[in-house]
Amino acid sequence: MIFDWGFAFSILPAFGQALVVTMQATLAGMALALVLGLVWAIARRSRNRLVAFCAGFLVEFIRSTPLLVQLYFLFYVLPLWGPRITPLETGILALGLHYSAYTAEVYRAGINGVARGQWEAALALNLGRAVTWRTVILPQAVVPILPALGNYLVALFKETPLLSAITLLELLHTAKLIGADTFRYLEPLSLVGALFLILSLMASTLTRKLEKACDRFRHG
Amino acid sequence: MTVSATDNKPALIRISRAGKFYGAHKVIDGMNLDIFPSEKVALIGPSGSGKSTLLRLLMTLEKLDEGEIEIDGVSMWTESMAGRKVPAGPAHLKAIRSHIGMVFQSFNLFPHMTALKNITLAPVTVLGMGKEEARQRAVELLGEVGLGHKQNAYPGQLSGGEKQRVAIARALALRPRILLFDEITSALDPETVGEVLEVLRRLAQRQDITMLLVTHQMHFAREVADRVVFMEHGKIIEDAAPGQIFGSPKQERTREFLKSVLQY
Amino acid sequence: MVDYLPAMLSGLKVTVLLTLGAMAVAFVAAFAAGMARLSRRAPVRGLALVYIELFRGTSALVQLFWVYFALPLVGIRFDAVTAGILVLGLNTGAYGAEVVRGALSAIPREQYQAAWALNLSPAQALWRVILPQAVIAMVPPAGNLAIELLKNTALVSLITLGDLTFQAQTLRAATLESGPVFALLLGIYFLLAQTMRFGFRRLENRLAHGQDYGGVR
Repeated sequence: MIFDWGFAFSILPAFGQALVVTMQATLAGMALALVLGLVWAIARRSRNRLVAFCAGFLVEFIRSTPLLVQLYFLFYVLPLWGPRITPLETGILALGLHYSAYTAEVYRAGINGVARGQWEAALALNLGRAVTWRTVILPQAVVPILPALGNYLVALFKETPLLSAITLLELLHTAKLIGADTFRYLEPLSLVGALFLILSLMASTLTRKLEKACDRFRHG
Repeated sequence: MTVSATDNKPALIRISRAGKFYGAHKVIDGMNLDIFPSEKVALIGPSGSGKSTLLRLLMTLEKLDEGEIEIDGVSMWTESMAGRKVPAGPAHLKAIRSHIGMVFQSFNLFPHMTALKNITLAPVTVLGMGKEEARQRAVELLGEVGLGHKQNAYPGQLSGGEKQRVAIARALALRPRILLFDEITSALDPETVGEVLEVLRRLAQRQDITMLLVTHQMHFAREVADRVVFMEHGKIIEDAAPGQIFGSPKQERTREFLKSVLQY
Repeated sequence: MVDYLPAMLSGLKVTVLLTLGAMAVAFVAAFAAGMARLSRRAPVRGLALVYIELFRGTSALVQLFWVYFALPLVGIRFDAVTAGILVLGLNTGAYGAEVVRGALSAIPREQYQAAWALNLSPAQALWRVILPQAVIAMVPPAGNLAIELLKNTALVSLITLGDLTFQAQTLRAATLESGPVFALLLGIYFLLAQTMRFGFRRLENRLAHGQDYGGVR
C-alpha cells in the first residue's frame, strides 16, 4: 500500500487549528446567511414594487454566479473602498452572502406556506405589519423549513475549502501546505476528504432527525 | 326593534353605491345599506351573492372599487389631507379598523399560541395595554365564552366549537363597536354549533355592539337579528325585519331562496 | 475593457467546454446511479449509495485536488481538463442521481402495473412508459443542478486550468483593476446562467405540453 498510515497520523494534529477556522467560517457564515436571507425574503414581499424587484434580482444574481468569484470580488475589491478585513472575515461575508440567496428561497417557501387566514386574522386584529411578521407569520414559517436550512448549513460547510483561495488556513489549505512541504499530497488530501465525509454524514443524519421531529410538530 | 325605530339616529355604517369587481365579475354591484348603532343584521343569500365580500370590505381585507363606505361618518377609503381627498393611508385604515372586529369561518387562530396568548396579543401590541391587565381581561373573556379552563390550551388541542369561541373572545378583546361574523358555524361539526350560537345569542343582547352576521342558519337569524338582508348577485333584493322576511317576503326571489333552504 | 476581451473569450471557451463535458458525464452518472438505487440487487444499490454519499459528502474542491494532486502519486494521472470534467461531472451526477431516483419513485404504481398487464418487458416498461413521464419531473431540478455545475467550473482555475475565472485572475494581476475585471466576470457568469435557465425552461415547457397521467389524480 502506498498510503502511509504513520505519516497520516503524524500530520493529524496539524488539522486541529484548521478545523477550528473551518467551523468558525461555517457557523458565522450560516448566521449571516440566516439573517440576510430573511431580509431578502421579506423585501421580496414588500408592497413597494422597486424594493421587491431589487431583492428578487439580487437573489437571482447571487445564485447565478460562482462563490469563488464573489469571494475574489470581496477579497480584492472591498479593500479598495476602504474597509480592511481579514481573510476569515471576507470568507464569512462571502459564504453568508452567497447562501443568503438560498436561505431566502427557503424562507419564501415557508412564508408562502402560512395560511392566508393568518394574515387576515392579524389584519382584523389591527396588528401592525412588523408585529404580524414577528409574532404571527415567522414563528409559523420557520419550523417547517428547519430541515431545509439544515441542509444548506451542510452545503455551506462543504464550500469552506474555497476560502483556501484567499489564503485562509482552513482544512484544505493546511493540507496543501503539508503537501508542498513534504511532497506527499495523498495522505493530507485524503484526510481532509475523510474529515468532510464524516462530518457531513453526521450532519445529514442530524438533519434527517430534525425533519422527522418537525413533521411530528406539524401533524401532532 | 324595527327599521323605523332607528331611523332618526345617524347610521354607524353607511354603504353607498358600493362596487367590487373580480376582473369583469361584479361581486358587489351598486349597493346601498345603512346600519345603525346596536343593530343586529343578518345577511342571507345564495353562495356567491357577495355577503362575505361585503364583510371583507368592511374589515378592509378587500379594497373597494367604487362608491363609498363610511364608519361613524368617516370615509373608509379616503381621507382629507390639506383639504383634498386622497386615498386612505395605513394610519387612517388602522384608525378605522379599531372600531371593527371579525370572526372567520375557519377560525384563523394563531396555532403557535395558547388561547390566552391569542387573546392578549392584540390588546398588548395594538392598544398598548399592560400585560397583566390584558391577561386578566382575557381570562374574563374566556370565562364569558365558557372556556375559563382552557386558558393554556393550544388551538390544536381544542374542538372546532371551542376554537370558534376563543376566536370570538379574541375579537372582543379589542372592544370593537362593530363585530362581523362570517359564516362562523359553517366549518363546525353539527354537535358543536349549538355552543357557538349560545355565545352569539348572549352577545346579541349587548347594546354597545353592532353585529353583522353572514349565516346559513335561518332559524338563528330569525331569532337574534333585528333586520335581515337578502342578497343576490351583489345586490340587496330585500331588507326587512325577520318577521316579514321569513313570514311574508315581498320579493319572489326571497321566497324562492327561503323555500329552497328551509325545505329540509 | 476591450483589451480584456481576447483573454476572456479563450476563458469562456474553456468554461463552456467544461460545463458541457461535465454535464454529459453527470447525465450518464445520474441515470446509472439513480436507477441502481432502485435495483432489486442489494450490492448494486450499495455501490450506488457509496458513490452518491462519497461525492455528496465531500467538497467538490477537495475532490478536484485529490484527483489532480493525490491520484498521480498512486500512478493515476489526468490532465487538468479531464480531471475537471470527470470530477465536476461525477460530483453533479451524485446530486442528479437523487433527482432521478425521486422522479422514478414518484410515478404511480398503477403505471408499472398497466405496463405489466400489457406484457411489456421491464426494459420496455421503463423506456416506453416510466421514463417519458419521469423525465418531466427531472427537468426543473436538473436545470438548477446545471447552474450549480456552471458555477463549480470556476474551481478548476485553482488547478491552473485557463477558464474564465483563471483568465480574470491573470488580468487582475496584470492590470490591478480588480473592480472592473471581477464585475465583468460576474456579469458573464450571470448571463451564462440565465441562458441555461432559459434553455431548461423551454425544455420543460416542451416536455410538459399535453402530458397527464391518464388517470384519476
